[in-house]
Amino acid sequence: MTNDQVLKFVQISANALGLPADADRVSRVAAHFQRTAAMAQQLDQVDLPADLEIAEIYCPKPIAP
Amino acid sequence: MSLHNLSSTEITQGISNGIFSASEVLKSTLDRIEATDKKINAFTAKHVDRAIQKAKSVDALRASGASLPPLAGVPFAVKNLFDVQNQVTLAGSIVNRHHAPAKQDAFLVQQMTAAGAVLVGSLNMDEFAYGFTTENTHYGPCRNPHDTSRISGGSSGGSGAAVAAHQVPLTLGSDTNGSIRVPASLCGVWGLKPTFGRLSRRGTFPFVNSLDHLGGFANSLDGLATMYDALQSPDAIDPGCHVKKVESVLPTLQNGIKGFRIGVLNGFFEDNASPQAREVVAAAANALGVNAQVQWPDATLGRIAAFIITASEGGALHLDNLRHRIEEMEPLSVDRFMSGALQPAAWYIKAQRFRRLYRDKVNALFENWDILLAPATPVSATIIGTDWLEIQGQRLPSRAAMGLLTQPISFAGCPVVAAPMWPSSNHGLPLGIQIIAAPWREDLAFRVAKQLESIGISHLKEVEL
Repeated sequence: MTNDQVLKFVQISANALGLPADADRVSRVAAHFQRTAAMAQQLDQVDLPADLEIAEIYCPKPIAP
Repeated sequence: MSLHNLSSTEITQGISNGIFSASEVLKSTLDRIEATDKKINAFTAKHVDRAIQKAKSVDALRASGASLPPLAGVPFAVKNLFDVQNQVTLAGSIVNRHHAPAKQDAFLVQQMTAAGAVLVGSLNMDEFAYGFTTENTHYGPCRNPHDTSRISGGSSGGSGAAVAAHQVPLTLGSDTNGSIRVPASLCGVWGLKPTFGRLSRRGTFPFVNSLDHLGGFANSLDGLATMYDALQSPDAIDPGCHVKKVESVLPTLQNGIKGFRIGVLNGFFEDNASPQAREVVAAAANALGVNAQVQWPDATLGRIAAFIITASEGGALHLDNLRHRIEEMEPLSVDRFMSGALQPAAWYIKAQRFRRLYRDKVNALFENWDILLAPATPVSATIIGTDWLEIQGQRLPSRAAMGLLTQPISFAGCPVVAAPMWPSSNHGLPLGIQIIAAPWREDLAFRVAKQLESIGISHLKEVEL
């Protein structure tokens, strides 16, 4: 996403959720969002099998009886 | 007689043997807090009347000749996201001030009280636990007792600093991505983040349901073990508490580490570590006689997934605050909360699905290893107000980077004892290590920690305040 696209996304999403979206705040939030988007892109490149379910209430390992 | 720097074991033995009373220990504790907290700012509330009553009840119990519980008369304090009866649970915020006072203590506060411990106060933290520095704008920064111009770490900064400043021997905190291990490292105290699902979270203000752990800090390893054993209990009411029984670590603490397969994490955990961080891990490995290098699976992706889940769940939790009270929120974290609230659902779901795969890879790793070692923080405590860190040529935002090395571990839910370590040329500042075990094997991490303590390499240091 370009800087302009991120700014627009933040502005529109904030409006959709009823969040304050003055220009200064949108700019600051967009900076955070863009960093996270770059990280999310790395995760997006990982192939996961379709039947892999979300972790839900996470249990790190079955407890031995 | 100075009582403020005793371990919890020394306190319980002294009370049991009639050398001093619980009330005398409490007075010494309150005097120490009064004398030092203007410089540290660890406490946001003191619960004096309640503490006096509890100390008196311990003294009465001893006078009756009855046997004393394991933490009888030991003062402790809690991060201010723990419910304390008749107190408003702030969670580091001012927006929570309009909430009703808690009707009862948090589950773990009840466990501590039942074990005889004396609650003396509530502690400073990053607002809603979203931070690694405790530079709280509303209540002031919590300062590092080893150098008050520096951060204490966070988000359980008050919990780490109060122990390091010898205000109390035990504290409780929470750890979502590193919030116990980071302040333990930067303040030079013992810390425990148990297995995800080990301890009940009931009666604490949440941050990220999928990742929140509770645990504690101590000025001695025996104290940390005694506290951990006292905190354990199944809790059918908390859906995130998986355990069905108590598995005490204190009875096995002295069993040694013969036959343990211990490795040192390389790759991500070296690449994001300062020379001082690598030095303390090498020193611990050398003291334990180990040199095997081990690759943690998908550490970068684990950290990313934890980051995304944290932002999404945290942002969603505080959507109403963001809508209606955004100007009252912490300036250092409010924009991150808002960014998280806007993240696409696909990012979050991918991260949660990835976590299942990640768990299997981490559990497979522990088929070959009992304990893995890594730094707890990339660097030692930074000056309050620091925005950027340089680590191995990378320029990183300091407030997020402090959790780089803890996030991949807690995302798998593994238990960690954070051990206090002291790099050789670091202006007297500590930098701790993580002693990491497979899920549900806190006992192994404690035994390795005991070995490091016995060798004399892991310990607290006095502070001048």
